[in-house]
Amino acid sequence: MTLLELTIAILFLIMLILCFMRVLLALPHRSGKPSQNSIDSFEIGTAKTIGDREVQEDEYGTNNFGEGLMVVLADGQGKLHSGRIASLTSIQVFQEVFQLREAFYNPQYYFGKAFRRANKEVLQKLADNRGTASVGVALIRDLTLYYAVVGNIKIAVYRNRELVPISAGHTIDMLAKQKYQEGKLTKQETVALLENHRLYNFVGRDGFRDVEVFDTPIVLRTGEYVLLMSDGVYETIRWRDIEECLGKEGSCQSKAEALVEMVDQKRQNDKDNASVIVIRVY
Amino acid sequence: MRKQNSSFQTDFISEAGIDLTNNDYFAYVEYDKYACYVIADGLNEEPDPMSASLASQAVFLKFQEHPSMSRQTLGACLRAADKALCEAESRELLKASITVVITDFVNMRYGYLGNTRLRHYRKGFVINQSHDMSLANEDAKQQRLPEDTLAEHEERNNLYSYAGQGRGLAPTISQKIKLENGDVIALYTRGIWEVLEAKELDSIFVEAVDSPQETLKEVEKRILEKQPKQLENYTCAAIFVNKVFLDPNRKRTIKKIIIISIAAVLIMAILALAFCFFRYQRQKQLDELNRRYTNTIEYIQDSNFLRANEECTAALAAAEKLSDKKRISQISDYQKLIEAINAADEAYNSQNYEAARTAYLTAMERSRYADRIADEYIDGRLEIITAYLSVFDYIQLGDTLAAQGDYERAEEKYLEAKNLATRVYFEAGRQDAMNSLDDLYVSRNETEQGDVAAAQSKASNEVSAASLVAEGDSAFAKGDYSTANVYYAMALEKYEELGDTAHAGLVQSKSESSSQKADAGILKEQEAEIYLQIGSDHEAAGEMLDAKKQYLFAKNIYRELQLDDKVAEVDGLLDLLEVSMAANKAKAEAESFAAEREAAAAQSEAAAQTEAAADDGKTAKNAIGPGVSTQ
Repeated sequence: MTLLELTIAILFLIMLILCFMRVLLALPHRSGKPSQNSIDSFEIGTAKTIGDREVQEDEYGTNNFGEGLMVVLADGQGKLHSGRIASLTSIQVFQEVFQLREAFYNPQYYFGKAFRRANKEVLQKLADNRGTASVGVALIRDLTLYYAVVGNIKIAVYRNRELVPISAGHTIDMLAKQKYQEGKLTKQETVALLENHRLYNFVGRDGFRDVEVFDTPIVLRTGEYVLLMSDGVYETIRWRDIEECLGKEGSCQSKAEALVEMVDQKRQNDKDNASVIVIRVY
Repeated sequence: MRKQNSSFQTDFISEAGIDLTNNDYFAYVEYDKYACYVIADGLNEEPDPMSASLASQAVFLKFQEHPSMSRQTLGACLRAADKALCEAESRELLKASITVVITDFVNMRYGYLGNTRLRHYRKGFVINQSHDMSLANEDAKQQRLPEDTLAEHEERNNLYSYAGQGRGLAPTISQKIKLENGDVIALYTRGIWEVLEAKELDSIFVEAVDSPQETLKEVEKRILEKQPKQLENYTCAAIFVNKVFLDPNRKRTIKKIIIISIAAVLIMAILALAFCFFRYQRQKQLDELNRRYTNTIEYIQDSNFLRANEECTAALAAAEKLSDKKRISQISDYQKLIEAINAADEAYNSQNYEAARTAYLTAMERSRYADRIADEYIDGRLEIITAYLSVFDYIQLGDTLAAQGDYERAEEKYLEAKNLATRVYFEAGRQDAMNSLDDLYVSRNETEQGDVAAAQSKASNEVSAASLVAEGDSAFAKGDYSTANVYYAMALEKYEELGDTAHAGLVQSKSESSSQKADAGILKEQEAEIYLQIGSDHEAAGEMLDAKKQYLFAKNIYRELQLDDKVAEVDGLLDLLEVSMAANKAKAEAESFAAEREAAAAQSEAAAQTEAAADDGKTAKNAIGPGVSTQ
């Protein structure tokens, strides 16, 4: 083999190695929590903070199967620990309901079923204490996002450096807009209510009916993020700051912790519990 | 004045549609010389924190700083709007589409970001229009496929450039467009063009002849007639150019402009000509400089330093004319080198090689600053000079050795000098060496001959001296000490002449010994003479036996001295004595006669011996012998 041929062979080998390394680098980077939080085609990060409250009333849970992933976030409210009980109960119900495989293939039905059951159980458990919870659930299967929300849990998708809210939520301002669309409120009345973010619908309420369920499933793209946030997150820090945090390098866990860290560092009185789930799809 | 002397009518409509708030914005400002029109569409979700108004206000503030219709001003206005949205303290990142039109009432220029649109009408035709900075695929939009929330959002916000984008901002800015009377400029937002197609809009504005209000009412009517399901914020502004500004002093201005232009052109032409001429001259000088410089280098390379000096001087003059300091410095270095070499060559040609070597070394130093161009030449010269000086050194060494008589080594040195001179083609040196060799050979021959003669002379002297010594030894052996002494003396003289001290000492000792012997012989002979005398006395006294005895003693001595004649003589005496003894009388007479004859003979012998002893000049030593008494 002449020197030239040897040189070409070596250069070719180096190129192959570099290509291989490039492919390895292109693969998703997983760090943070151990693989129990990493599912085959998902990366999940979770974080929460108690804020200035005495009790952490936010809870979350996940179910994962070969078919897909179900995550649920609940933000409890109520005296003493009733809020926490409400959120825990809701989480448990969803996890039980979505133990069934067919639930992943009929999410719309099972979302409604889970919400109704959760509401019933919360009322049964907290008849006296009146604990309630806002619950948001997201199911991802075959790069498709199915979601349902009761209360003010915000579900959003990060695409093209922009965090787009998917869910509207059950707050007064959203209700006012809806009523305006229906022609039941005047523009002025609606505008006046736009700053009111009070809940009007939640789990653990008598006469619970409305569940915000997806109209059209969201088709996701590889590498996009799905966020579930309690109001303690999106009401405290700016939406643009969340977008900026998601745009940086890092694992989902690090991003979730960074978001919660921003909430903690915010100078604000009486900060609510704040929790966030960050999911990255592949 | 421009504004007063022109007529621009502007009006607009802006409604929220079914949205709760109107996030569109239109405003305009008309100064005396310039006017600025801005339309903006906020892209954030409701409630929009006034992104459109923020962007528009930023544009006006920037425009106020320096009202102008230049491309730079327009770009600065759009960038100011972008910066204002990026730096706004808001929960969300603010985004807006914006279009800005600036006019000086004669021309206009527009720039835009996003999907707010502009259409410029003239005599029923669209002569200018903006193009959305949108990534939308029109075909896909026509298909109206069911889209999820995210896709809808993406479709609505699929702009690749908008105010609030930050990095990568690339606004589109038009050329300067000349306005004419009757032109209509329409600015409108998405709420308009999503409902009304371009053709419908054109049909309205093309027929527009009245005031803009009427036209805009028609636009709104057409929109509402469509009863769109989702009517967003819509804004439409119309600028009617009824009369553009005409400069009353236009003719004068044009004339002035023409005159100034002609003058400027003339001046420019003159300046250009002068510049061209100057450049031509300069180029010519530069070419001359380069030519001279090249010639200098070539002459140096050809080792023609005289011509090189001429060319270098001319090049230096050309460089000074061009005031090119760098070239002046460079050529000066070359000139110094050439002068140094010429000086060295002069010394070399004068055969002043020591001075030439020094001069060449100086030239070598100079060559360092002249790109070492003459190093080869100088090295060659130095080698030659070194060889020449070596030839001289060899010849000198040879002379020294020759003077010392070491002809062999001197010959070696001369031959080395000759060979070296031959190698370096040094004819004069070679001739010197040859002459030196010839002289050397002559000297050597003479010396050799002299040596031979001297050797021969020495040899002959040595031979004669040796023969004399041999003769002396022979005479000494014979007992002829006086003769031996003579020979020894002659031989001693020879050896002294030859400087042979060894032999001279030997001869001296022999001569002394001979002298001693001669002295001893003389004493013996004297003793014998005494014996003879005594014998004679006894014979005279009639004591024949005593006389005989004495005669015998004398005979012995003579025999020892090998004086045969004396021995014979004594024998005769004895014979006579014998005869006399036999006859006294006769013998007495005979004895007396014989005694008289013997006495006379003895006297003559004694006188001869005395003379011989006196000739030798040797002091008599005491003779030692049996029965000899010293006197």
